[in-house]
Amino acid sequence: MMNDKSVAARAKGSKDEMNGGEDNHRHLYDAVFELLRVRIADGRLPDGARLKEGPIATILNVSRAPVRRALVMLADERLVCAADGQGYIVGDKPTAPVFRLKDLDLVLKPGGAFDVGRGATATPVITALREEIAACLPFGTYRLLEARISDHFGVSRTIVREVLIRLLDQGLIEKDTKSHWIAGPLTARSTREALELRRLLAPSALTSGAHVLDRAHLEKLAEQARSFLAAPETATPARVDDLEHFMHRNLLQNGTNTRVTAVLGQNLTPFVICRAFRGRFGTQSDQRLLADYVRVLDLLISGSFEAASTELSRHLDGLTDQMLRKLRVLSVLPAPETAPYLAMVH
Amino acid sequence: MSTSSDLTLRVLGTSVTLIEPLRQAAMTDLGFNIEYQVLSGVGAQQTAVLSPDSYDLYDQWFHSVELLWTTGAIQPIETNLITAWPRLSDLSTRGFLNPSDRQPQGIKPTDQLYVQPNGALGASPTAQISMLPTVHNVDSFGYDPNSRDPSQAGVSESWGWLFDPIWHGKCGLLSDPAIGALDVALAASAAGLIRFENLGNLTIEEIDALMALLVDHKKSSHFKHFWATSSESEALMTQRRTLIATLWSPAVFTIKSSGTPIRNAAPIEGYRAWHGGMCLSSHVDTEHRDAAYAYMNWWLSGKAGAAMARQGYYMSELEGTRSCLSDIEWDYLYEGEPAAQDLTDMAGRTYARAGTKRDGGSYRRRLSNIAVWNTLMDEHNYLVRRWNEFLNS
Repeated sequence: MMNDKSVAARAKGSKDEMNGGEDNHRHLYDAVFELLRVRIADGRLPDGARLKEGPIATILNVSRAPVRRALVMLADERLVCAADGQGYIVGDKPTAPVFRLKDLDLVLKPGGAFDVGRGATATPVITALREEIAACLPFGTYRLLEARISDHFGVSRTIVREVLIRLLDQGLIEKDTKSHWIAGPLTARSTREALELRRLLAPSALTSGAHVLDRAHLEKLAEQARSFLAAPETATPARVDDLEHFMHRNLLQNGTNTRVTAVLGQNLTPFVICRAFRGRFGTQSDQRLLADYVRVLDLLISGSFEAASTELSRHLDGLTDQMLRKLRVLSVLPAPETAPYLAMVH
Repeated sequence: MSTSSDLTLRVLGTSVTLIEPLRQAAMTDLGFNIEYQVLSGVGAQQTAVLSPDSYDLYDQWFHSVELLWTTGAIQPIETNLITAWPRLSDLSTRGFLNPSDRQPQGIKPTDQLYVQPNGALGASPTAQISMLPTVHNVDSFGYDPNSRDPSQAGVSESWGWLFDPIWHGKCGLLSDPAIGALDVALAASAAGLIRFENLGNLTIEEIDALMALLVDHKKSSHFKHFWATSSESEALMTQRRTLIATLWSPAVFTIKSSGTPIRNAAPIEGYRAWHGGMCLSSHVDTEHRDAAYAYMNWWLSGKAGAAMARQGYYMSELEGTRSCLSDIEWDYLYEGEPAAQDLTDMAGRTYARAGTKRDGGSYRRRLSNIAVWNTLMDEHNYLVRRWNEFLNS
C-alpha cells in the first residue's frame, strides 16, 4: 500500500540521488502509471471512473507532470480514454454518466505499504502470482518459493518479498510458523466464514453506495446476464467470472464505510472455487446464480436499493452451500500443473 | 421399452459390483452388449464427473452421488420405471430398518436420494431419485482370533484395537481417504485418543489431531501396511503380514475360504456403513436410456443380489435375492443362522463351513448397529490432502 509520505520521500530521494528532475519525473510517472493500472486491473477503478490530474496529484502528493504522463501512458494502452478536456475515463470508450469516485483517495490509498516506486516491476509478478495461486488454491496447500519466483520472473528477491507482502495484505497467502509463504488450504470453514462476513457487510455496502452506480452500465450487465440465461452456450466461464467479479467487487466499492469496502475487497478468496469449477465444468451450474444477479441488478436499476440489498443477502445465503458442494467436487479431481515456484505441501 | 441387440450399454464403476459372471448373465438375459469400465473408487468418480459422455450408467457409492449431481453429470431416475421400487428395503428408501436403531452419524444415503422440487437432493420422498439403491453393507475390521491376548477373551470387539500395541506392525489400513479416514477416526475415538464432535463431519482441528496421531503411529511402524483393493488386503492377511486389518466382506469370505483364521469384528461402537447404487448419465439417448432401465431392473431381480450375497453384500431388493439363493444360503447370509452345510461362492470356494455362523449375525442385527455412514464431509478437500500427506509420511 502506498502512503503520501513514502511517495514524497521517494520524490525527494530520487532528486538527491539522481541530480535531475527529469529522472525524478520518469521514476514517478512509472510509479503512478503502475498504481493506476493495478487499480484498474483489480476493479477498484471501474469502467467509467473519471481520473483527473489535479486530484490524483494532490492525493499522491506529487506534481501534476508525472500524473499527466501516466495518464497519457494509460491512454496509449487503451486502459483510459480522454474525456473532452475533463481528464480521462477508465475504459476504452467514454460513457455517460460516469462513475463519480468521491473516495478516490481511498481507492489509491487502501491502507497498507504500497510503494509505487517499485510497482513497475512488481505488478506483472503480482498479477501472475495471483492468477496462479487462484487456479491451484482449491486443490491443496502450496508453498511459494522466493528464489524460484525471482528466477522465473527475472526480478530481485527484494521485489519478490514486496510482491509477497502485497499478496499477504490481500489475504491470498500467509506465513507459517517456519516463515514459509503458504497459499491455502482453502477449507470449508474458511469459505463459510468468508461468505458469512460478506453476508454481514455486503448488503449495507451496496445500499450506501448504490446511488452513484452508473445505471446504463447496470442495464448493460443485467442484459448480459439475461442473455446468458436465455442462451447458456454464450455464458463462457470467462464472461461469468467477469460478471461475478463485478457483482461481488465493483458493485460494492462505493459504500460509505471505507473500512467495510476494503474488507470486502480483500475477502474474495472463496470465489476461486467458482472459477476453478467453471474452468472444469463450464457454466451449466450457474443458472441460479445468474438469475440472482438479474434480480439484484433490476432492483438497482429501478432504484429499489434496499430490496436489491436484501436480494444480495439472499443470494449470499444460498452461495455457501453451492460453494461447499463445488469444493467437494474439486477435492476428487487431480490437482492442476503448477508453476515451478509453487510446491505442493499437501 | 425396446432395445436392439447391437446396442452396447456402458457401465462405469468399481470391482465391488462390476464382476464378469454378472456381465455375462445380464447380456444373456437382456439381449444387448454390456461393457464394464472397472476403475478404482476415486478413478471412477473422476471419470464420472469429467467424462459424463463416456458411460451410460454409473455404479458406485451413495456418498459420491453429490459430486455427479453437482456437476450435472447425471439425470433423475424415475421410480415408476423401477419394477421392484415398492419392495426395496426400508434401509434403502427410508434410511433405517427400525426407528429404534442406533442413530448413525454422517450423511444417510436417503438424505441424498430424492430429487426435490427445487432440483436439490433430499430425504423427502418424490418420484425421482438421484441413484437407484442396490448393494450395501457394514464394514469393520478382521483379525486373527489366535493373536488376541487370551486374558482379553471376554472383552467386546472394538475399533480401538487398531491402535492396540499387541498388533504393532501387524495392522493393515485401507488407503482410500474418504473411507480409510473414517475407519481410523472410529478407532482413535474408541481407543480414547481423540474425541470427535461428529465422526461424520470432522473439523479442521480434529483432522489435524487425527493426522498427527496417524503420522506418529506410521513413523513408529505401528501402521506399516496399506491396501487399495480387496485382493491386496486378502494377501496381507493370508501371508500373515497383517494380523488385524480393516476389511471388506469379500476379503473376509476369501480369507475364510483359504483356511486362514479370521474373524470379522462386530465393534461395540458400531459399524461403518455404505450403500451402493446406479446413476443414469445425463448424456444417454432414448435407446440407451431404455437399456439402462432394463439393466437396473435386472440387477434388482435376483441373480445379482444372490451373487453379491455370496461375497457378503446385501441387496436393496430382498424377495428376488432370496429366490435366487438356497434356503441354507439365505439363512446363513441374511438370517445369521448356522450354515447347514458348507457354502461356496461363484468360484467354488468355501466361504462358510457347516455349523458356522456369519460374524455379526443377521442382516437386521448388523444393519441396526451403524456408527457412521460413509460420507463426503464438509472438509473433505482438506481431509484428502492431509490423508495423502499421512500416506507419504
